[in-house]
Amino acid sequence: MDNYMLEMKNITKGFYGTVVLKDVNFGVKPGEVHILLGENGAGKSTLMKILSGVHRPDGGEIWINGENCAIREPAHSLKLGVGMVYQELSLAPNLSVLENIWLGALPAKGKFFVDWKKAKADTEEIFQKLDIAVDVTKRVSHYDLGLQQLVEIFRVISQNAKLIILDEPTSSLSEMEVKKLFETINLLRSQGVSFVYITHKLDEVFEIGDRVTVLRDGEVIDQTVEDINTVTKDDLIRMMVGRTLEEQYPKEPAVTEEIMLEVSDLSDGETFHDVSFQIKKGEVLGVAGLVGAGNSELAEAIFGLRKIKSGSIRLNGSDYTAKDPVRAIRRNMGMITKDRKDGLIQHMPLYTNISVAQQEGMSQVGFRLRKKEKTQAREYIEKLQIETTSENKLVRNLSGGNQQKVAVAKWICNGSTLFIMDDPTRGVDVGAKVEIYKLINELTARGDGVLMISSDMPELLGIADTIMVMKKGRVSGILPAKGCTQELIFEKAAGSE
Amino acid sequence: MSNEKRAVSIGHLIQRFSPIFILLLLILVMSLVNEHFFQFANMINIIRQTAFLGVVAMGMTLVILTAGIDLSVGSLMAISACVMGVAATEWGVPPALAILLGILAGTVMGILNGVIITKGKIQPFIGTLGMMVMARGLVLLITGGLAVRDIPESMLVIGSQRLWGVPYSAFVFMVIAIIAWILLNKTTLGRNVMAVGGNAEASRTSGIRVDRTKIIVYGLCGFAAAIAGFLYMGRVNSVPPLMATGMELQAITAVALGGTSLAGGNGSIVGTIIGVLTIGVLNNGLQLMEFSPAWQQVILGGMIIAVVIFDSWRKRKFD
Repeated sequence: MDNYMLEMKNITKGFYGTVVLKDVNFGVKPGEVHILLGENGAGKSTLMKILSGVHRPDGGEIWINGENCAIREPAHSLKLGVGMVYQELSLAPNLSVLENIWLGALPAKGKFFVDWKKAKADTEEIFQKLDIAVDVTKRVSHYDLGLQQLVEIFRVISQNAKLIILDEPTSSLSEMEVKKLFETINLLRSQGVSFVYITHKLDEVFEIGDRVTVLRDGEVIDQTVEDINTVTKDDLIRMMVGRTLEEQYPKEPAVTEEIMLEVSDLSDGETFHDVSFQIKKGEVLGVAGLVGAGNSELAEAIFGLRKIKSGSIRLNGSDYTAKDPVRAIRRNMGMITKDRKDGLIQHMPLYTNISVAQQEGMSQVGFRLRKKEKTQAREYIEKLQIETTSENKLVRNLSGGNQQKVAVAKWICNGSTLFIMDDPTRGVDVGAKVEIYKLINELTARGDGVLMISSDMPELLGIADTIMVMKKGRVSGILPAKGCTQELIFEKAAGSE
Repeated sequence: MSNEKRAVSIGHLIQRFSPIFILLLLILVMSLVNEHFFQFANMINIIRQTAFLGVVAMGMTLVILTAGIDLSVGSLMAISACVMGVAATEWGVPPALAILLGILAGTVMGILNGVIITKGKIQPFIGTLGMMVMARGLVLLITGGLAVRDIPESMLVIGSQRLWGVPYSAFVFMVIAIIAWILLNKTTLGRNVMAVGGNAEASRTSGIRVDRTKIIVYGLCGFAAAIAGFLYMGRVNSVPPLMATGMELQAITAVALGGTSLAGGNGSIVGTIIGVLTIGVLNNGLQLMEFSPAWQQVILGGMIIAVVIFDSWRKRKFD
């Protein structure tokens, strides 16, 4: 191998039985910007946390400048020349730019005193080199996010970092700020500093990157791309997602003619107004809308978690008054919440979570039928292929996708026929997403209805039968998913009247 | 992965067994320091001194598991005993009925605690603080600030007499503890208590009636306080208007020493029993060693802090 400054060999890491990284090889050369690509949950941040000493690998070796290092903690990795800039900045807003850069490592004069003169001169030199006008004695909170990001980078540089990890550094920067950041990276690169650059923005890959490594489900796909000009954007997408669109969204339509849920002129007087729609048996109604469009609130209201002011709901041919979740559950509804912390009782075992909604069915004169609960849990672990060591495992120790399966199992075995799902694939890795879609197919195949809210438009187009778009609390369109496009949804969700 | 798993299970073991370890250590030290400590008569004495605390702590455990707290238990003990005493001596109610009336009073005020907290949507700390002050005021009003005396002998038997050399109050503690254990570990209500305490929002979306669960638990806590008041009355042979002041803090201490998290959702009845015995052993042992009550408090307070620091260290290290 030729002159790598960092080599991670065969890195393996798992959490509570879920393998997050499998035999990952990753190398960085001096003075390069190495792009690390991958979807959420692909293992990027875990890999970088191993490098910066937050986690320890279960297996594999890390070589830095030809030496095998066991990184013990973040301070140790910094000593070895690896500095991490986190997505959330960790500056002390009330201290000056200068103090932030030298935080904890101010040049000393004698034993007790700070050499402010030297510190100031050194700091000003850094900024002058980049032609950035900054008063280094001003408070850091006085400046914009872009500059704050640079201060973070200079901080790790001042601590002699030779390799800097940037985790989605541009996610909250303006175009101008991004330009400055790239200039800085280019300058430092020419001085021999290396970067690992994590991003979701594919345009940036070609603008700033030298080489690319793609991670998917904890594995390196193909191998590191040595020359960035040999690949296209489409190649990268294919490597990240790993499947064609049909494989990603295995939709099997099962809509019947029978109406299951009929909502008329529903308002809560605050977040949504005069909402009317229908769900037929076997139908997936996708709900799209920007943040604040009122779709989550609508779902909560139907499930009885939020007060309704006016309007009516008919369910399976009879009137339904949404008042509290107990009532909704009695009418065979199930709700999968946006935040899994609001839907699953994280500190309790899997089997109690599956049977928690069965207040009466799983008890006899008030006593809990634990054996029956466990048998049922084992049955669903197998049926839905929930990855767990046993039915006694605490839900918080399961991966996101498996937690979501537990949530679905809870409602299926409670006899639910109408499923309200608020962003069911949020924070779930790609493989698990597909499994959730297949689960939805199974539900519709037996005639259940699904109301699925999603912020992921391709997902809505791929999985829903009908798409309802909401805008500022009102329905702005109900469209068949077939033939619908992202542009059309966006137009309805954000466009002018 | 195996490392992490091992760390988790070690943390789990420490959490599970550290309360009993502390108790055993304490018993060992006390036995070595004082020859009178580890004798049957003294052991009985410890149980007699702590039985009513134990009963209160059972109710307190349930409340704390729902992520709540009940500061009113001392006052509820007093008002229950007060109703029993006044009913029997002044209203001419037969003893059995007087006892039932007292228990009813404590339970109803416990339920009221629950209603205030859930329907008024206020912090349990504040809600029960109000009840604590109010109930104490009612006791003073009913008794006119004087101790209720001349209580019929038959009402004092259980709090003062023994069966086969063991105080009746110890049996009462045992029965209440068994009921509390079964309730928490075997019933749907107990499951709901754990769920609500750990995550009220998720419990609600799962169809658990959160408010109702809390009201029942505060009612049970009031019921336990009433029973404890009954035992206390037997022990001191009267109802002093300031009886059981500060009992809430002792009960909370017992629960915390037993490893139950004050954040809710995590803890056990057995832990609290150990916590109660720890307090009993500590107080009794220090008495035998002729420490003043003032020193007993200093040592107990120090121990609470030490135990909680240890627990937070354990969480950081292993969870």
